[in-house]
Amino acid sequence: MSEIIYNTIFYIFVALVIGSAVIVAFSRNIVHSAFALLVTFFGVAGIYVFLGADFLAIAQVVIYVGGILVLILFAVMLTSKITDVKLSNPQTSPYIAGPLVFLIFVGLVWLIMTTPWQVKGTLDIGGISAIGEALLGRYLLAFEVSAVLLLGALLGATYLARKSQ
Amino acid sequence: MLKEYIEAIKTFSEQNIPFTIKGAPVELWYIVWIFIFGGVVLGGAMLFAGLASFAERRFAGFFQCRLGPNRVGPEGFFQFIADGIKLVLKEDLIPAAADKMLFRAAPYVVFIGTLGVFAALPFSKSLGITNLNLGLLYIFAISSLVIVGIIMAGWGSGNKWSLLGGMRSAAQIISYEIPIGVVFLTMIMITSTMNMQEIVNQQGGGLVNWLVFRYPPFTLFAFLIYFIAAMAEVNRTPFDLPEAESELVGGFHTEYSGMRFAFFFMAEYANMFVVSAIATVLFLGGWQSPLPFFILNIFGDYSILAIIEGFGWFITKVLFLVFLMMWLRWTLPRYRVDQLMAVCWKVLLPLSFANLLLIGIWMIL
Amino acid sequence: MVRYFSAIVIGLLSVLKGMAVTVKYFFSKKVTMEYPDQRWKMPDRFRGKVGCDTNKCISCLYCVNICPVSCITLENVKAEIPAVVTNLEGKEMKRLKNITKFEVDISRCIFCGLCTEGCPTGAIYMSHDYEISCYTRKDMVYQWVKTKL
Ligand code: SF4
Ligand code: SF4
Repeated sequence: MSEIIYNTIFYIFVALVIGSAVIVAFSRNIVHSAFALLVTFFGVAGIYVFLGADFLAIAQVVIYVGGILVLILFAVMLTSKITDVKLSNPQTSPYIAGPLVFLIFVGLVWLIMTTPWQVKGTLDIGGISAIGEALLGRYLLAFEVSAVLLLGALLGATYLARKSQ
Repeated sequence: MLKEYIEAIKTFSEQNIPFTIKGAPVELWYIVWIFIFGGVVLGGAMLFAGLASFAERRFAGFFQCRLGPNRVGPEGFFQFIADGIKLVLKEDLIPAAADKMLFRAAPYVVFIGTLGVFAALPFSKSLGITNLNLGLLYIFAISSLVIVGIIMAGWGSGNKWSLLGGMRSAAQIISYEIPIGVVFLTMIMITSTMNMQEIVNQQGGGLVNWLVFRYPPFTLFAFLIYFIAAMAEVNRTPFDLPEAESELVGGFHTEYSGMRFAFFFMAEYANMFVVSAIATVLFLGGWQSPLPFFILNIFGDYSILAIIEGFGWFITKVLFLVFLMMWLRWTLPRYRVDQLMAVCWKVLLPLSFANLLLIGIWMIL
Repeated sequence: MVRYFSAIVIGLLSVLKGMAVTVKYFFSKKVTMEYPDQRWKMPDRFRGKVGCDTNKCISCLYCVNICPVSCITLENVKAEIPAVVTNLEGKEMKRLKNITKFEVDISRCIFCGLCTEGCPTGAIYMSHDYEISCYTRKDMVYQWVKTKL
């Protein structure tokens, strides 16, 4: 009984993610794509919850929904032809792209099926304090490097955006 | 893999739901329970939104030397029911230029973002829908849905003013989320937990133990920063540029009417409740009594009376903050867009960082 | 730096001052007049809609002639027995005619008050009634006297 319930919920999430991802990819209206991304992000967060990684799930929502999605929406709406709702993804040549994408898909599936995944049960990372200690202890270098990278991006964006004297 | 996960959820449900029916699988009952709680919260939030809209109009009158609505029922108390009936009966217009799907979906997205927060609020001692370990972060995350909903409404309306309002709102909320995040960080640093109940538990034992008075005056500054930024988050005057009626007609909800407008309206008032509740939990001791003990607790420890009294204190504090917001609304004129951004980036953000640093130094000393 | 912080302090203080002002109004006496239940007392010389005490009218046609917009209509027939009316100074005057029609079209009236100023008996007067809105144009014509002939 309980397995049925969990499986149902899990597949609802999966369907949500895949369905909205399909809309993102195939919608002719780029704004619809952007908003469908919202559902995708939420579905992925739900799957994280299923994996027992609740911090990751919430961080996913904070960063992707609160930050990146809004940024994408901004970018879409600030493009020059703002009144033209039919900004579409140009499908130039499906005959080349189709087989290519199919090949990549088959490759990925093959990779997923053959990789010996290590199943360790639910993730036990011991809450946020453990994450914080790991970030500022063992992975300090990577943490700082990514911080510097982001700072560089920020400065670069400011430099590009300022008025040229 | 799934087995362990099921066990985890099972123990979680057993700890978190008050009672079950014998024989029914605990998970199914958990789902039912979620729906019951959801209904209660929805009803409570709608009731609050209605009452707050009535109070807002009445107080607006008082602040302007007027009487305000006082015709329907005693002192106009049933005005909000009349308004609600009016909104329900109104025709639901969808403009021809609108993006129909987004136009329809937007109010729900805003409403989900607002109501989702209620799941993590500690209403009283062990009274709350869930007791998330990451409660504060969860609140921060789920409330970002409101921005997406507002942009959706602005875009979906197919109206210039709506779009401008939506964009403004998004820019504003994104900017003001940063000082709020830093203030949250400060409070997490002080309490070293993100669990809302735990934060409240740490403030027990009277007024002096509230976090506003923990590291004077820095936590008071943090409270001020949070309160100002929160007013901007919920688009209240003086930060109500997204719906500035003198320039944008009605901002992102210009084109909405009837029930859909009511959703936006209720979301706005529920949002006021939410940010006030967070401020109460973080700074004003949540459901803790300002006295060192619960008055009703004389009749026995941890009794149901203490829970009721805690709920009373919580609601009192929240309503006071909501009243403060209304008071400010009818005192201050609206900001200009550049002033709005200057307040956030040049004042609130540096001050909140300085605050974080100073409190950190104090804690080490 | 000093300017930055003093600006913040001044800003907060001015907000507090503003809040003090508004809270004063919050508790002050309200100025609202709840209209249909409570009304302003009109000043004595307020010019509301024109009224007439037809018993006092001696049918001199002064008001009909003076009205700048000609909105008063008065028709009469010769009376068999003249009625006696007291005028403003207390003198008795005779009404030699019977009024058959006496009406004012208030939609054209400009509330100048000229008709009342010269009326010898004070029959026509400016009332304090300002609620003159109505649903049809016909209702705007007040018929003080209408005799079916
Ligand atoms: S008030 Fe003036 S306009 Fe009106 S009826 Fe008298 S004279 Fe005519
Ligand atoms: S002026 Fe006076 S008395 Fe003469 S007709 Fe008019 S109302 Fe009658």
